Amino acid sequence: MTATVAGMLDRLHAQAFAISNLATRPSEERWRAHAVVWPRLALATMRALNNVPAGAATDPELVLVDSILQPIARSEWIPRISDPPAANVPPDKRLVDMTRVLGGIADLLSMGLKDVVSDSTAILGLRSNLLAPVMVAANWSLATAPDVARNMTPRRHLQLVSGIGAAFAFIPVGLRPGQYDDIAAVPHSENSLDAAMHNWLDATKDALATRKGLSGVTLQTIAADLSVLCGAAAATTNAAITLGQLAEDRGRRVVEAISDANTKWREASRWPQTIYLGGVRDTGLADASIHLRQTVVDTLRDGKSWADPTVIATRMKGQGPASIARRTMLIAAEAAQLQQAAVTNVFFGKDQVMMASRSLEGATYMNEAVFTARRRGAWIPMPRYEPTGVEVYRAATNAANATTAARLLSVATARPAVTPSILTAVDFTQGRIAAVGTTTPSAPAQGLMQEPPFGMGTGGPAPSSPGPSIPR
Amino acid sequence: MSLSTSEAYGHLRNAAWHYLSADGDGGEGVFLGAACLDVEDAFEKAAVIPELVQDEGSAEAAIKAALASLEDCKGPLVRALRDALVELAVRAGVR
Repeated sequence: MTATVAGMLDRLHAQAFAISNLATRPSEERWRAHAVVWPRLALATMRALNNVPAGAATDPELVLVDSILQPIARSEWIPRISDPPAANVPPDKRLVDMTRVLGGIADLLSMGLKDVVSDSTAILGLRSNLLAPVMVAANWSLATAPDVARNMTPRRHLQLVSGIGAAFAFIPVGLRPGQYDDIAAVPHSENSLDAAMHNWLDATKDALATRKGLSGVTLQTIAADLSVLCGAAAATTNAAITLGQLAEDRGRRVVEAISDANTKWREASRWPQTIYLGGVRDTGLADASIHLRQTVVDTLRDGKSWADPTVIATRMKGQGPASIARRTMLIAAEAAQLQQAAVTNVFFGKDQVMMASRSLEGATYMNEAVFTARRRGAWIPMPRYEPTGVEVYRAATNAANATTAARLLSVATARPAVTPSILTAVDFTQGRIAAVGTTTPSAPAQGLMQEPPFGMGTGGPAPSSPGPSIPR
Repeated sequence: MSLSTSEAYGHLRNAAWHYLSADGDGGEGVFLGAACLDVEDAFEKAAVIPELVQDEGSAEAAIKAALASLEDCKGPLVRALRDALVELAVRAGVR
C-alpha cells in the first residue's frame, strides 16, 4: 500500500478526533500512561516539523515550537522527585499510535520533493496539520493529569504545547493542502500504478546512464512511455475534475497542458525511417515499460479509450486521482529531462546516429564514400546538424519543455485555492482590539469533550458529526 | 539475416511511425506504437539491420507487408520474429 503524507495526516487527524470525543477524568494511573509516551510524541513532532523543507535560514516560528517541545522530548519536563518509583504502567495506546504516525510522516518528509521550492503557505499549512492534532493530544493529557502540586510543571509544559498547537489550529483547513502532501513511500513490489511508475523511472535512469551506448529503440520507448504517462496524468486529472475533487477552472488548464505534452511526446517517439541508431534495449527497461503500459491499461483504460472517471476512481482503491496525477507528472518531468539530455548527446555528441545514404541530399556531404554507400543502399553516419536529426532533437526538447510546464501547473493544484489574506479589519470592543469575526474561545479542556477540535483535517475524509462519548 | 528480415524490420518501423502519428484515436495509437517498438527490439536482438522500404500508407498495411516479407524466410530466429509480428498483428486487429 502506497503511504502518502496526505494519507498519514488523514489518519493522524482521525486519531485526534477520536481522542477529542473521549470522556476523560483525572487519573494518576492514566496520566502516567500518557507521560511515558509524551517524550517520544514530542520528538516525532519535532522531527516532522524539522523535515518540512524550510523557506528561510532562520525560522522564528520553528525555534519557538522547538523550544516548547525540546524539554519534553529530552524528558526534562517532569522534575525528578524523591517519591518511590511508580509501578510500570503500559504506555497509552492511542498516544503511541499517534506517535507512530507522526514518525512515519517525519520519515516521508525527509525524502522531500525534487525541484520543489518551499513557500510560506505550504510550510504554514503543513505545520498546522501537524500541530493541530498534537494540540488535541496535549489537551487530552491535561484533562487526564490530576491537578496536584507535583504535576504543576508537566501541566505547564503541556499547556504550552496546547497553546502553540491552538495557534496553528486556527489556520483554516482550506489553506492547508500543499504539494508536500504528495510525498509517497511506494512499495516497489506491489501491483499499483505508483509502483509501476517508480520501477519504470528507476529502469529508465539505469538505461539512460548506460555506458554501452544508447539505442534508438531505447530512446523511442522512453518517449512513448512518457506519452503514456502524460495520458495517464490527463485521465486522472480529468477524473478528479469530474468527481469534484478539483475545481473545473483550475483543473481544465492542467489537462490541456498535460495533453499538449502527451502530443509532443508522441512526436518525439516517432523517428523517421531514414534515421537509425542500432542496439537492443536494456532488459530492465523493456520489462518495466511493458509492465507500466499494462498497468495503465488495467487501471485507466476501457477498451480503446480512457475509462470513465467513476471507473477510474473505483480502480484507484482509495488513492485520490488528483494526487496520482501530480505524482505521475513528477515522475514524467524527471524522466523527460533525462531523455532530452540523452537525445541531445546522441544527436550532437559523437557520430552515433546513422542515416539512410539514399536520403542524404545536398552537394555538401557528397564524397566517394557517400556515393558508394548510396549505390549499396547502406547506412552512413549522420552528419551533425543534418535537418532530420535536428527535427528529432527539437521534438524531444519541445516535449520536455511542455512536460515541465505541465508539471508546474499540475503541482499548483495541490496548493490552496485561496491565498491567505492579511488581517486588516479589526473591531474595537470594550476598549480592546479584536479581529473581525473572532469569538471568545472556550477553554480547550472543556471544549475537548463537547465538540470536535476546530480547524482539523487535511481536506481528506469528510467531517462527521461527533458521536456519543466513548467510555474508557 | 536475410534481406527479407531487413525489409520486415523496415515495414515494422513504418508501422510504428503511423501508430505514433495517429491523432484522435483515444490514445490507442501510442500503446500500439510502443508494442511495435517491443517487436523492433526483438529484431535488434536478432541483429537485423532495417532496410529502407516503400511506405505502405498505413500501420495495418505496413504490418501485413512485414509479415509478407517474412513469409518465405528461413532461419533459427525467423520463427520467433514471425511469432512476435503475428502477436502484434492480432493486437492491432490486422489478423
